[in-house]
Amino acid sequence: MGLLSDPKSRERFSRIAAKYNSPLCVLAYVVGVVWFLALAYKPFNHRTYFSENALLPGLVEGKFRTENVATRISQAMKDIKDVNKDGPMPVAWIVNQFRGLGLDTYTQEYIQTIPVPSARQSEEQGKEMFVQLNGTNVYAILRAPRTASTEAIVLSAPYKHYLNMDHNNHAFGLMIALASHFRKSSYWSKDIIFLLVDYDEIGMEAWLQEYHYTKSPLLKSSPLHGRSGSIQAAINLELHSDQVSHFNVKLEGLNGLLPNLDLVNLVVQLCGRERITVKLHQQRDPFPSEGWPAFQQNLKTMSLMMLHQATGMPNGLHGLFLRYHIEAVTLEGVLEPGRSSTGFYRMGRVLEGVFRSLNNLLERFHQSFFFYLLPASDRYVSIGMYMPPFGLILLVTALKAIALYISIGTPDPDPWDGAENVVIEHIQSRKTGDGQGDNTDSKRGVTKIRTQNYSDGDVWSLVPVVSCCQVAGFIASISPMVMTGLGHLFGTRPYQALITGATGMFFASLFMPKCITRNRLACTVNTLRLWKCAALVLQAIILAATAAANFSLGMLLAVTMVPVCAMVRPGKLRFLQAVLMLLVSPLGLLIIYTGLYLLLTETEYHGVVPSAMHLCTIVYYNILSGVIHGYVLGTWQYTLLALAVFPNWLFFWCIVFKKRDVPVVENKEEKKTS
Amino acid sequence: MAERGPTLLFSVFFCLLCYVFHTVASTKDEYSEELLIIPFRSGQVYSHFEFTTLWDVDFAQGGGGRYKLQHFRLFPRALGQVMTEYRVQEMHLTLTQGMWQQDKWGYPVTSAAPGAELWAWFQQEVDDVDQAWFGLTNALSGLFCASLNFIDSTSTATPHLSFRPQGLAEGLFSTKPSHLQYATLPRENVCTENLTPWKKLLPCSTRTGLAALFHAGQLYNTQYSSLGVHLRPVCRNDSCRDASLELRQVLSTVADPPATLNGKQDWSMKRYFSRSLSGPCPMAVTSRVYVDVTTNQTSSFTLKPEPTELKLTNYQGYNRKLAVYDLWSFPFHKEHGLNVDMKWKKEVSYKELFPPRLYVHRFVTGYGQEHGGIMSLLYNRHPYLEQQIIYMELLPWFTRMYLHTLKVETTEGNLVQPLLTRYTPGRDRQNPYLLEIVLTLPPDSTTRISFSFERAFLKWTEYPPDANHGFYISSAVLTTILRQADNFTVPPHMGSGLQSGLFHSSTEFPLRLHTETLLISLPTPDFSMPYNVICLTCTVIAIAFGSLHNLTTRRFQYTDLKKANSGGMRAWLAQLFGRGKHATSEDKLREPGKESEDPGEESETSEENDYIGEQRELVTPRVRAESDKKDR
Repeated sequence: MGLLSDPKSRERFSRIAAKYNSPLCVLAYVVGVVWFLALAYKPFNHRTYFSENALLPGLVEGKFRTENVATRISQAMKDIKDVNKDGPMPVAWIVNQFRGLGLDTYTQEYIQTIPVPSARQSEEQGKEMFVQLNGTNVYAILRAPRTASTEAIVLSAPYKHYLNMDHNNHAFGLMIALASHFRKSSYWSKDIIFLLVDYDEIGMEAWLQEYHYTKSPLLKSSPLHGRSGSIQAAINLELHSDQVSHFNVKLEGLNGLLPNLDLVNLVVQLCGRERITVKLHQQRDPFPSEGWPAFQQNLKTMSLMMLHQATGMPNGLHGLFLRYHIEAVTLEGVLEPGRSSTGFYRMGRVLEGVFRSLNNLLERFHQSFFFYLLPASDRYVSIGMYMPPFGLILLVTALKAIALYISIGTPDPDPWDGAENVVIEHIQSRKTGDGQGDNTDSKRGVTKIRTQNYSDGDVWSLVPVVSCCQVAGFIASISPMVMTGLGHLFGTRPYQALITGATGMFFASLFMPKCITRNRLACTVNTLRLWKCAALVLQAIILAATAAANFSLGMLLAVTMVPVCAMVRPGKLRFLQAVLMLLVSPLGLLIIYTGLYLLLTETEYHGVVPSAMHLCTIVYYNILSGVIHGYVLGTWQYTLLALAVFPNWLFFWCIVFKKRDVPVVENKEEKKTS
Repeated sequence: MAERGPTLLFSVFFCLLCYVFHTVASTKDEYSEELLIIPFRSGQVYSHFEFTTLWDVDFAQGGGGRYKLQHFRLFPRALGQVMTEYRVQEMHLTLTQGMWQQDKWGYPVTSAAPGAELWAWFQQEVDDVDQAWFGLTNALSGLFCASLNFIDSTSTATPHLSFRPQGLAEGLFSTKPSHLQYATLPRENVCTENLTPWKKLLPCSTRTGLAALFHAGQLYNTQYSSLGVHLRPVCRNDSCRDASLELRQVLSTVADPPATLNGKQDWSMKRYFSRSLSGPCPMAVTSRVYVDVTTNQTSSFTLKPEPTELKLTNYQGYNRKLAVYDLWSFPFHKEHGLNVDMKWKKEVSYKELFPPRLYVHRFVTGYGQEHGGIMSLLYNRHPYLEQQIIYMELLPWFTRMYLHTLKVETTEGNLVQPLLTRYTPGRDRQNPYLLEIVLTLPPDSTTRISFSFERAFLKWTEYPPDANHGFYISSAVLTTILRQADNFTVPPHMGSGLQSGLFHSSTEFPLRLHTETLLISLPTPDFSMPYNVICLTCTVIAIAFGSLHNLTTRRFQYTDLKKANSGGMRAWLAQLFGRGKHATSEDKLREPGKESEDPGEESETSEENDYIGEQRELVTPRVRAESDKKDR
């Protein structure tokens, strides 16, 4: 113990940290990464279980038999869709379907202003700067008997899958079928809200904002005339056909929020009862569940989940509920050709089971995990298991920072890292010692030398460089808005201006070290050590904080940024360092991880050039949607990258390009003093 | 002579007895039972039972408004004794399961808050109202098997505007505003255990009369069910020189036939009460069933059997057609009991709702566990009439209301200036927050009343077992006098019983509406956390505190390194880490006596070495002095 009380052991610790710094860093990093990857392997993770006993999944017998309603309604909706192709949502018809069942049916009209127009919209509407989306949500409330409408469960569905412009008529059919079935039962203790959303996430956000009356200035909405109580859980339904071979369960929500694991377990368990395969990110659970192929499969599922989570964008409408502390998942019914499939009957029974279990809930979901990773639908890695490896990776940064801090005060020639200190300082002390004897110096070690003429790093030199980086970050964060405004003046398409703004800012800031050098802000090697030490500490803080909010983002940043940033030093091999740094820059990371995602998901390979083009397009859309979602839905990934990660990275970039020009000055001073 | 004494005594006693009987008989009481059935356009069927007992108590006897109830006949003794004991002048208790849906069903005969609601006016002579209230709630709790005993000062308030006495409040019955107590228990579950004691208060219990329809299994398989007991002094006759005591027992249910019957609204007593009527209660003066057939203009349903009478009423242009079954004149000997049966020809066609002219909708705004808000939308759909209302909000202490955030405006954004705002701030763990606003709703408008509150962090023992379920906020109350009575289910009770209300033409329609109860979640600790916290705290204390304590209390002394390090694991480890080479920092603090043995020692003690100087700071003065001596 005595790290505080015992200066000897404190010194010993710091000396070890300095002396074996590089091997320790490598060890911590390798162990961290391997440990983390190993968590995907079955013996290292756990089987999921129900924490909430009140759910009692599958305890009741399913009575759903109105699948013919589902077929009829989905066919009717398809007919309407065929008549007016890509027209607006047939609100009156949908309202009649709900009202015909005797549900309290309401509509919500909204106008969402998108400050930065989306690609599709701006093509249609030319140079219009702010695009306004008009939409109408329809929702119906099944009032539970003998309750005062204090609690509710939501079954939602988007009207269209906007990504592939496919109508979601099957989901609506199933929704109506379930509503007509639920209406007949008197056991409901919570209201059930059936919600059909226009315009995907924007519509859902509009409805949720209005329901909770948390108004954003970009949204104008007609008031909701009917409400239920506090929403306890939500299931979002997307069906690609009336026959499905499996349900793809989507979990990742806004800003990397995840629904309570109990809800996920519930869905998985009930799908299992009805013998519907459950997949996560279209990945099947491996069978057999152990062995190398199984590990590969698990790792793939987990990586996909992390990549999705790191984006901070919801991959289904459920993701928007999570901000309001409403647990939600999306069930996406997919028909895979050549697989056995099931129809509305089984799907209806699954949903009936889910809703009856949710109906049993006495309290909000709170028992199970909110922070987890799923390598398979029935295995989980909890926060307690994935945080230690992450901590080990961050330890690299910390160790490096400590070593640098200790080494501040040692003289110049080459001792950049603490590792060489011990050797160097002996020489130094012999050179500089004024007759006190070598023994002393070797005994005093580092600390002895601190008393010599070598000045400490100039702390004040941090101020201009850090503030320059932060200003660059701030400009990057507001650049989309500014650039769309400027682009409007010059007649460029807003979304092009946006991309130009973001990337232009990035590339412009690469020249920042030049400016700083010219202004002769930096000085001695010690100052540079101090700089890097500060940068490392800042990085550790940023990464730790990010991981606490969105673990996947923190982890993905840490895995790549930490080793490179720990390695960089001014001067040597500048070109190689620059390449490495560019790779781990926010833009580089985006490209790398998008590439990884494509590698994991896409089966076809079209050759180098088309793949690269494809990659570029995806990256382009990722930046776009990152920025737009930031404004409309309130995701903070772009802001985080621009305001925290990017400045920090820029700091390191400056260190790489910082010429160690000032030892000369130092030497002069020495001469003067001597 | 000896025999005449007892005879005389007996005759005198007899005369006295006759007199007593006479006086008792002269305190007349009467009982009436009524049932109103209304089929709603939205497919539901509303049945409202009303049992009224009127008792001509001699109030003057007790002095003031104080009455002493004794010699019970039709009036339930169990209730009467409680009223006497706690000197209650007026008492209203409702136990409700479900929420009255104003926009679908219009107005109920008697509005009730979800859960339990109790308000009472105590007589003027009562000195300690709190004590009387405590006694009353506990007595009623026992009487109705409800958790009314959980009503305490944290849920009780004294509204000044919303709850005026409903009966007589002058002369003998004048009282003080502070003698009103109002409380709700929004979480109260109401079921058969409350129904059983309630129906025991009826003179005929459930053996015969309308009360025979009370089959608990059926009554509680409905959308809404509400029990009520209302006690008040009323005028005995038009001159109002004397007063009577009125006890109204009401029971309302709303059944939802289309949910179970393939979309048809068919309703019959046998299906929804699982039996038919066999006759009136013999004690009842009036025993009637009214069926509202106003919606049957196009004979969309058939009503069987034929009603004994059809009545038309008209309130200010709003016509209502009632089919009346008088149980005293109904030919029970011909029919096998009375089974009112409505059969529709077609399925219910659900159309857009026709909400009443004035209704209210309330909800929680915001998310997160720190702050929140409550917003009420008050709809005045009258095209040209303003409406003055009193809005009352009763918040528990743990939702700390911010009065400065109170905002009253129409949805168009025009501010509505409240005519009067009465606010009683709450106190933690003592009083609830009470807000009463009087305002005028502009015609054809929606007015928003909103304010925000802070969620209190409770003590860990104050959380209920299911803390994550959330906490209930009782419904707000809207009180007003309507000037037009369309959509009014039953106009006010100027007299006693439904009959007087149904066939009375009035120009004022006092209305009370209850809003939704709200469920809010307070910041709730993870109750498995104490274990983790203990572990974490212990670790932190062990590491940090231990070290600091060590550092501040240790006495540093010089030791012989060779002795100290002679053998052992420590020495070996020291060797291993390269510290055994006589050059460790440990020798700084070496015992001075052995100093000369080490050649390096001299330089260490030299004053010019700052580092050593720093180290010396740690050495306690005594040791420092010693070392100095040795140095010399």
